Amino acid sequence: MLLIDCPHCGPRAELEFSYGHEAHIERPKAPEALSDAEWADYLFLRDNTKGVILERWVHSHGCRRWFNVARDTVTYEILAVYPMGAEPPALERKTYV
Amino acid sequence: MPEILEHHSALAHLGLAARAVATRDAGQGVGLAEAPYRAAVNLRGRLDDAGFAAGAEQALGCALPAEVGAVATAGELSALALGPGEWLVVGGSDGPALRARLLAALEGVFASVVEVGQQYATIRIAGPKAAETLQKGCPLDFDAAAFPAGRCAQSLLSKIDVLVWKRSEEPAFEVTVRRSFADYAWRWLHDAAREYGVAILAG
Amino acid sequence: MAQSAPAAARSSQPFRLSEGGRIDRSRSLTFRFDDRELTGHPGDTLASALLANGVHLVGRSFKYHRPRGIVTAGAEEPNALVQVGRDPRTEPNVRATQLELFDGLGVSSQNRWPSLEFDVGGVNNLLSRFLPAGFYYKTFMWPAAAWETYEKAIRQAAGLGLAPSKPDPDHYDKTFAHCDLLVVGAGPAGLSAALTAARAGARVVVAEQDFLLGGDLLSDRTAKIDGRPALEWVAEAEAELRASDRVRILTRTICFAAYDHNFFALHERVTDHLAPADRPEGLPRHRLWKLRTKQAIFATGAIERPLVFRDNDRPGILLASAARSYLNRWGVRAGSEAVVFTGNDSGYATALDLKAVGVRVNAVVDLRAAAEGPLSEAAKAAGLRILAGHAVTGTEGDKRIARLRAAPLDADGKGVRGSGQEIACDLLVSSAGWSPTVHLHCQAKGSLAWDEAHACYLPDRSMQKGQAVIGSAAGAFGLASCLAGGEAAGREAAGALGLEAKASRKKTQAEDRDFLPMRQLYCVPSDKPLGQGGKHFVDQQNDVTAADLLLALREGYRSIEHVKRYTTTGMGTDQGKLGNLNAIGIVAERLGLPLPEVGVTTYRAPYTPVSFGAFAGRDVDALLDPVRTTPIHSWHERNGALFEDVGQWRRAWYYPKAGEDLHRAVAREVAATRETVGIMDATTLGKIEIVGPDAAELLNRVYTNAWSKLEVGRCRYGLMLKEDGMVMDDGVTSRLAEDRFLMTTTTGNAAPVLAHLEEWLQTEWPDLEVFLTSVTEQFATMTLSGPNARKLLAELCDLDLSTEAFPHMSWQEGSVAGVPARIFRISFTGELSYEINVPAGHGLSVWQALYRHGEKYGITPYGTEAMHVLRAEKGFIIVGQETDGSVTPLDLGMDWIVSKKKDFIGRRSLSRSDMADSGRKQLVGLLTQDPKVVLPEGGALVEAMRDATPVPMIGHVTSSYWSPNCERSIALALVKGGRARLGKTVLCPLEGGKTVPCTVVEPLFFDKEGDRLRA
Repeated sequence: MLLIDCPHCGPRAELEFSYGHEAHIERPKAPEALSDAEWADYLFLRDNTKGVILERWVHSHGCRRWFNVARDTVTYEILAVYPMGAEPPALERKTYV
Repeated sequence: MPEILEHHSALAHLGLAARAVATRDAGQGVGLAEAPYRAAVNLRGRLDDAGFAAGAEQALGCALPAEVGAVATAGELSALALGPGEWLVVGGSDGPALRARLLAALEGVFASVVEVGQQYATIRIAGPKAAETLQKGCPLDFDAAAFPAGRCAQSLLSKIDVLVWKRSEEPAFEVTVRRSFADYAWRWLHDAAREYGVAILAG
Repeated sequence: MAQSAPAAARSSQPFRLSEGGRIDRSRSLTFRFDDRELTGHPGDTLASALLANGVHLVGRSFKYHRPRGIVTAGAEEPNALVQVGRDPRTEPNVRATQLELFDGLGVSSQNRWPSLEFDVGGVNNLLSRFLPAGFYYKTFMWPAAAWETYEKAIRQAAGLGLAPSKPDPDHYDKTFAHCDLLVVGAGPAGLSAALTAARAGARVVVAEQDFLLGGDLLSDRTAKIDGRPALEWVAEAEAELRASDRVRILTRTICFAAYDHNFFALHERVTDHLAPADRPEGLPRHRLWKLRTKQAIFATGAIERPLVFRDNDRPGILLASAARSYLNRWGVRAGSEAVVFTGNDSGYATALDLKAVGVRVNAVVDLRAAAEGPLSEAAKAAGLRILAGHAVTGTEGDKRIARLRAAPLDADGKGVRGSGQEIACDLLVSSAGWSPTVHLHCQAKGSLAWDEAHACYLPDRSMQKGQAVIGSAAGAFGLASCLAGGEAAGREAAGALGLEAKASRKKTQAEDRDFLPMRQLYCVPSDKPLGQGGKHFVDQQNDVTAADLLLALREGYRSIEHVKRYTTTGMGTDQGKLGNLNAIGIVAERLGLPLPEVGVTTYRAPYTPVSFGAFAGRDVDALLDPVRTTPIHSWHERNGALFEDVGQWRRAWYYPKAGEDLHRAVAREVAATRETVGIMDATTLGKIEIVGPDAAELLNRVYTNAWSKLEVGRCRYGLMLKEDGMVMDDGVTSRLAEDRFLMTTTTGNAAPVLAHLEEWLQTEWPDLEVFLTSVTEQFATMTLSGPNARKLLAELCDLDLSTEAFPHMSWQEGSVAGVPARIFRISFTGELSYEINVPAGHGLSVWQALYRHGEKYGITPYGTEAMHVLRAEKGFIIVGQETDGSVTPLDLGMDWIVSKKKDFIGRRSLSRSDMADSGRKQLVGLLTQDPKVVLPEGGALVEAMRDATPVPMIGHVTSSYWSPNCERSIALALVKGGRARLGKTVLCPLEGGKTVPCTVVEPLFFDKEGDRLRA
């Protein structure tokens, strides 16, 4: 049960949030220019990093706002919380073997 | 001439008025009451838009609080900050009038003013064990230092969405839920409070 | 309050000492064990009371049904598992060592028939050669057809106790909790830490599994703190902690799980220790605590390890520390003639304490070549007979140990010289060392480091910040170290919280004894090869022997995780608390590896078993899930409605009159709606108010069709796709103003659609100026449908309802029965239809007014079933019925609603090559060739039946009804290449062998021109 620091409401239990998977995936500007394979990549393929990942969360049972999180998938430490639409802050994108 | 039609509260079917005890005291345990109907409007807008901030302040008599969880009160109206750019404005009993007043003050401004007073029911839980009762089903911290008077928070209570508001220093909370969840919320709170002794109070 | 008998005569409880122990000798409690009535005292556990009465035989082992006795005094108990109480208030596998005695307690032993003394299952022990570890992987396979017979027998034999046969009559509770510091364990280390942090102002929770605080100090006769008996220090610490309103002490509470970010689960047994009649009404039986803390300190102690020697499982063979606990904490001597078998100094404490109360200690058998250490010296000085460099090589005694053999060890400890000497005893205690209780640290992904000298794993580094391990759990085995370590940890935790802990004025004085020196033999040799002449038990609960471990290695298993699962060692309710390290040591020795290279198995919650009730809490029966009802619900109830669940909503399903079943009621409702007027409660559908200059643009992007040109006052049906092109939801959306729309969704998708729209707005289109507000419950919605709908509404409504003024797919504001209303002329039934929205609090009254006025027209309430039939007659889809997340608008034949001009969510996916495949399932109608036959919904469809199975399935029936208006059955279906099959036959095979032939038709059965809804 993670403790997630919502940028608007403060630290709250994971129970109040919904997971939004990999962050910084922008919808292609011209979908019709993509091949089926490229489109499928956008739709379905996501990284599965053992280490620090950038992911999205939404505070479903609170302020209902989306935001981004940098989290280590091994230690579950949350390294940063930053606004939706913002660039990730400078941090060590650690990975494990 | 059509008759004046009855307005039913969310918990009308429980017959609470008939079951309420005379005293307003919760004793050593918990007192529960359905709060009477109050007007409510969901207000959306951008505080960095001067027109919005000024218009809202003029209509309400107080500035909208920026910090989520803060509450600003003027007269019978309170504005509860639910999220960035989202407030629940409550108070009085005339929802359409409240909405109209805000719309007029926000003419030409990008904003949303939606009447939602009928959408919610509010249960008042009071007494020395009120916080412990809520703590059973809600992951917020109800310690007095963590949830001071004058603050509100949205969260979960058991399986339903709630807005919890501690209006004063009194050990009491207002729990606002969607109308169709009110029955479950009432039964759940009553059951949770049983071990402390629970009394139904007049709303 | 139950009466308890005055103190009983001395002939009962013959093994109770005349004084000493934390028991109330002034009161006597009566309890029942199998068919025997026995007595004990308040403060006893079932185990201590049984031992006081000389009862050692308490169960039969899982596989071999060997007689077994009490081994420990705590949570690590492998054998003394009893069935408590009577069905349905009964619990199996309760550890007698943690079960508090109360007057009238009734328990029975498990896994034996017909009795504990004479158990037929004991034949398994004679057949044990054929029942080694993993025998079931090689048996019960032939003949294959006999498996179901084998399975029944295996189910009978499996398990230990009996599950209740009726619902649990007790109630349970759960709660969240928060604190600054959680201290797990109230021994000297934990209490020191809690005191230090509490004095600094921290909000502290102390969790202790026992009903008394003090930990190991409760079992220690001689320990002193600052020159006074240690338990006095404990009492003062407890008093100080209880006096603070910032400290919560939870006794009888096990912290059984460590989760992310210092979130812990604790299981509190609130009333189990009270006689049922004494349990306060209103208190839950158990409480589950879901605790978030900023800092956590694990002061969970260490568990003694038994030695593994031949036939080490007879009743009367206990841990050395357990015998000492029974002596000092409960005033019970566990036998009359004792032998202590130890490889370290701490075993001598038991020898000394036994001698001090007059128990004959016939010998101390010490693995070490020389008995060294402070307690060993004291034992020598007390004149105890010590056999250094010796091992116990075997035991005898049927239902109680009667004697053992002890022989001198070879220098390398791998064998013994000769057959040794016989020593009589009815109590044999062993000590192989101590295993720090690192479970919570490891559950939280902390690492371990091997301490060779102490032969134990110590906590190394925590993965989670804000966690510390102290006391013997961290390898600080001496009392002074525990106290000092606890205080240091408390100070550090306080500091991390921004609080200042004052350093204590003087250093607490206590002994600081270790249990070294130690000789570690994970498997003690006997005078015969391993596996011969007897069994070396490693895991008593699952009957796993050292020979079984070696068998697993011979079978080729190398990982300790595989060895564990192949032999089942460590997989019982005790989770290998006594046996795991011995197993790892035996495996390491056989593989020739240093023990830390073999490693440990993964630590998982729960630490000890937790009741299902605690996990469920009060979310049972009526509170299992919210039941959502509309403001009109009471009217439906009073008028005989039956209900169906649509998500969490309870919706009126149909309204049977006297003598009607579903079929007749629905036929009547459907006919009445098409003939005169029906009324339906449509409140549950989602409603979202969309406001802002970019409102229309948002709709353009989320719906497949175009919205910019929809006029104010008009309504349009919209289809919403996910980005993968599959239908997600549908509904009618109306333009309220230039910059305002009211969107409707299906009932089940009200919240998901709002979440979907918010996600796109916030993450992809933050530049769009539009706000969304849910108003699903702001309005009650009732639908009037049928040829007389207009006439009826006109009686109560001030608007011009003519079709010129109020055309199909438009809306207006007015009043109905004097209540402000918004009326939408939308039809899901195919009849002239008005959906009336009024403020929710007036919903019931307005419905009643409409009904009263409608009675003269024969107004008929219709429910969801009739609604389904009516729309199916018109071929209208229902999302979630005709769609399942894998259906596109093209599959549904709804090309007409898919814009060719603009982009929208899902558009690109529709042009994937896969989407044009003619083999895709397409929506069609089905007419059974026998019009009276109604297809089953979900029924599979095939082209032709054939003998060889499987028969390829070409589709399934999505909706199927008897249509009174068509006077025959109708159905909708998704069929591969459906549109190319129009006019052709498909078959629907039914259970029992019958197949129903149907003709594939267009999905539209009634009023094909659509004249009725444009009336």
